[in-house]
Amino acid sequence: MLEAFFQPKAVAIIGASATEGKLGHSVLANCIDAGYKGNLYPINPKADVICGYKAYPSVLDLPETPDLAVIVIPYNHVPAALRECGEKGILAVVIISAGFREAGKEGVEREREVVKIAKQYNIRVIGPNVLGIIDTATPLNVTFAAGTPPRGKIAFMSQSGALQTAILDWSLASDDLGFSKFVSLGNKADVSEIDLMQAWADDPESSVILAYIEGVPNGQEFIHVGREVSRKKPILVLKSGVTESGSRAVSSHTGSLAGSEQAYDAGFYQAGVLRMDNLQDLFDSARAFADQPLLSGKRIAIITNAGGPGILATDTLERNGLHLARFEADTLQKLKAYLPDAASANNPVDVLGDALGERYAEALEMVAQDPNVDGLLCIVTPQAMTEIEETAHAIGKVSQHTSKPVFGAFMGEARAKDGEKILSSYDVPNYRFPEQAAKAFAAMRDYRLLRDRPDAEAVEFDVDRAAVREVFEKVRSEGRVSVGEAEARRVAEAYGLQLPQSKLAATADEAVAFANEIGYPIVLKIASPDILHKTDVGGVKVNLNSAADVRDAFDLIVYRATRYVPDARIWGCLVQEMVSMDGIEVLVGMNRDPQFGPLVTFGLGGILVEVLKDVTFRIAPFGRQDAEAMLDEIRATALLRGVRGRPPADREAMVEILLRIGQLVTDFPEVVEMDINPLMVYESGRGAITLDMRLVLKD
Amino acid sequence: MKSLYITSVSSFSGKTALSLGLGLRMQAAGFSVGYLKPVSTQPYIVGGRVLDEDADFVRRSLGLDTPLWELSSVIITTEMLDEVMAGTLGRDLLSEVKEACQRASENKDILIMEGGASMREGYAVGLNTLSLVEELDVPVVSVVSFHGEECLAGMCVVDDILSAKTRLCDRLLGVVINGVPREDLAYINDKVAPYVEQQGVQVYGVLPHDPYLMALSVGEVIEALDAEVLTGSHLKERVIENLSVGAMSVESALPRFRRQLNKVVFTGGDRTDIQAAALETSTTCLVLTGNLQPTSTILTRAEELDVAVLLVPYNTLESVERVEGMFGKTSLSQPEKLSRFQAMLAEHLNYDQIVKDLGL
Repeated sequence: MLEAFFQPKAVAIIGASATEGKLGHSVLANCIDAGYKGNLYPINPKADVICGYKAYPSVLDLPETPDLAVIVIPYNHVPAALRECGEKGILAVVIISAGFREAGKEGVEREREVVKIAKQYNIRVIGPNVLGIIDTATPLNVTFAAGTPPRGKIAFMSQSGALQTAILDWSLASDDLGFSKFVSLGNKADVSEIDLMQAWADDPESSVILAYIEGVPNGQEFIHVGREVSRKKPILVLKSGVTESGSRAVSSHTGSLAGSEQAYDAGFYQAGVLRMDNLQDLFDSARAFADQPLLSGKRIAIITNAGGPGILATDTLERNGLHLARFEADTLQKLKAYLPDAASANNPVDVLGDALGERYAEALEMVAQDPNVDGLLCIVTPQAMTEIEETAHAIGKVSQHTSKPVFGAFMGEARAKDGEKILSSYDVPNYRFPEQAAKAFAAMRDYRLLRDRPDAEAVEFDVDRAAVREVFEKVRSEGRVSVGEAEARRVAEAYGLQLPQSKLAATADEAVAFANEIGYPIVLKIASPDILHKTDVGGVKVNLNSAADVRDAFDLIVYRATRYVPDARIWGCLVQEMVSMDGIEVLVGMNRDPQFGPLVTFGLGGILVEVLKDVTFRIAPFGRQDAEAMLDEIRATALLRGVRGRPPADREAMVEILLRIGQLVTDFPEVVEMDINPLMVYESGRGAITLDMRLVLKD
Repeated sequence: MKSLYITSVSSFSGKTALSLGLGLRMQAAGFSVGYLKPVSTQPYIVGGRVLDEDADFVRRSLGLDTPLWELSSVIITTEMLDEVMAGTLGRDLLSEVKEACQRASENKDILIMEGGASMREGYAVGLNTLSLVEELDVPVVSVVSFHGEECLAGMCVVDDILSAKTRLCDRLLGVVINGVPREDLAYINDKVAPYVEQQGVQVYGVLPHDPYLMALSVGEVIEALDAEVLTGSHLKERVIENLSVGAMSVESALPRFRRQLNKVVFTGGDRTDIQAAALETSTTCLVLTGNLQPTSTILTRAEELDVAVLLVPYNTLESVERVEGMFGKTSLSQPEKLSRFQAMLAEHLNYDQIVKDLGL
């Protein structure tokens, strides 16, 4: 998939130029400088030879059909050039030219035309408006960037080409940052982040996928594909537009509504994608994944020649859900025996400021063999006697014969650089600050948990879709978007939610019979189309505990109603289950996200949700594990498990309701908002009752 | 030649609509129809809007050749009132009205006269409804609009009808109750109408409230704001039923936007997120305030979705104030609204009874 882009046997560069400073020249020059070994065809009607290569007026004149064409000509000529590619049978095209969707109305039209031509000829297109693409293994560089990054195992895609030029510049000066693939996504007219994720899943050259994106247009597909790919290799995503102003900027780019942050968080999680907070974290973690084996647990050993940095690293580890390893007695003994008295054998292991390379080497060896240790961080502050080079080699050697990840933290700059260089020859990433290393460990652990979680188990309930369709059709035929209370009740019933039981009794005898059926206590309410405010006419009696009470109440209510509203039509009384308030009020909601679709919310209900905002999210459809995880993710989860002698709330009932609601909002895409607040959850085995449900349909 | 005087108890109750609706219906039945607004009691131009463009619309819709200036025979202005009070007017207004009626009814089977906005109007210049209908000797149909929020739902309607009956006595042919919310229809039909009929007043129809008819058109918003049209200049006749302001976060705006259909959204030209949220929901028109040009991506999207985007120099508050006051006071002068109103009359107005009572 998409191989033609990355391993082409022949490449045509449409708009290649001999004039330095032109983009068409930079692309050709990069391709030559990168050492591309296939046939290279500059396309330019005004030249015979460019940079030593025979030029052709059009791709139609080429002696063979290249796998890949790169278009770098003014935008108004792009459609014609693309059409010629199609005629020639070229199936992969990179359009570097700008002047499309990003450039206003005419640009949008132009991009549509490009997409149409591409479809017509089955051409896959990267761009338009891109920096280009690089594959360091092939090697291929068809970008106008200033050079080719070192070869590495990181496959990097970015919605910002300019950002990539900066990263590339950085990689040129860095010792341990290399790339396998380097792709600018541009306007994503055809090839998207989803296609690239899929294409790189089985690429042996790439061990980690990195993406900088501003939005995911097709969230559901992203989740689906991400889930598959993330089982094979980590996907790290930095998504911009997190704050309100940031998201406004994203809207300006696209003209459409940006998805909510909660949806991105939930969507990325469900896709198995690791979300990074900033560029620094993105590349810190990427280097860890690219160079080191995956962290198998959460116990880290720190070896340091300075107390302070060791403690800082410890704090960051703990804050991110990792722990300091507790060494086996044997390891402790060995360390104590070997290290000077003033040293600390306990984790973090302080080998003291006077530690030479050998002391580091011995201590690292002992710690690496401890079965209680899952990963090692070696901190080196450049003190007067510190042997930077020997220490770096010691770390490198340990990393070579252990299956545990090892990170270096040579701190500083002038001397640290030397250590860093040596570490990189052993494929050990170095971090100038120990906190960065701790965060990289945390990313590894997060990925492992994501990768190893069981597949979402699809659950499908037997529901009455026709009944819901009928309700929605009625609502829409009346030009409404809000679903009324009685209608919502029918929807809830059709999807198997439990509602307070309610039956209409025409006579006192019937009322007693129903009450016996439902069980006491009972609520009785006047049933009349002419009486809206039931309590005003004394039309409601609660907490009726016996047949006699029910009979008396029925007669009294009907008598009062006929007296106060003489002309009212009286149907009788509603006999209702008296809902016990002896439960926990939770909320189940849904808001349809423009990018990801149905974003289901779970949290504490009632007024608490307004204040505490203790809620968690998933994109529907989701499986049982997700529903269960939602219950555990809210801060008040302990309340659900039962505190201070209260019995635990009915977990199974909540899980089932979340799944049923997930099914409802998936079955009916016209539902744009849905709220059950409150859902009264009783103790285990007693279920949960939907007290109030509201739905809003799409206009 | 027959004539009919259509009056009402309060302004903006639907006199023009009923005059036009009846006129069209009568034309369809083969009658030759004339139309006249004997007294226009409001200054001609209010808030930049020519009020009697309603009368002009009626004239055009009925295809009358009466010149526009004769549609309103007497227009009362501040200057005229000053002259009346100073005793310097020197015009016989009643004769002018009578002459206008004469001219308007030439070769017609029926002349529909649209009266003033209330029963109290016109006393100052000696042209009040009661004396006019007496002098012109015409039967009257009164439009009573439902004002549920003002007093006991039914009482206002009954009061309005019975007071009209008391003043007009036998000149009152009957009434049309207009603008009744769906939920109150049964009550008005089953309780109020039988009751007033029992009191001797014929109810020709109970017309339901239709938000669509009260809706503004995009063109009216453009006019009220003197707005620059960035996209959708062909959408001027589209109607707006709701008004919303986007000054909050997208998170809180979206639920509101979703519940408001066919709305106009006022927001700053720089609030791309709110604009995108509005475009995502049922929006007819986007008013961008503060003269801040939106991004081209928003304009492209708006064009794709057929949403009018207007640019105004005012701030959001000023813009909203200019448009807010126009809701419910808008004219029928859009073809879609008129045909909708005609359909409503066909269903809810006892036309045959009116024709019969008029002796046509």
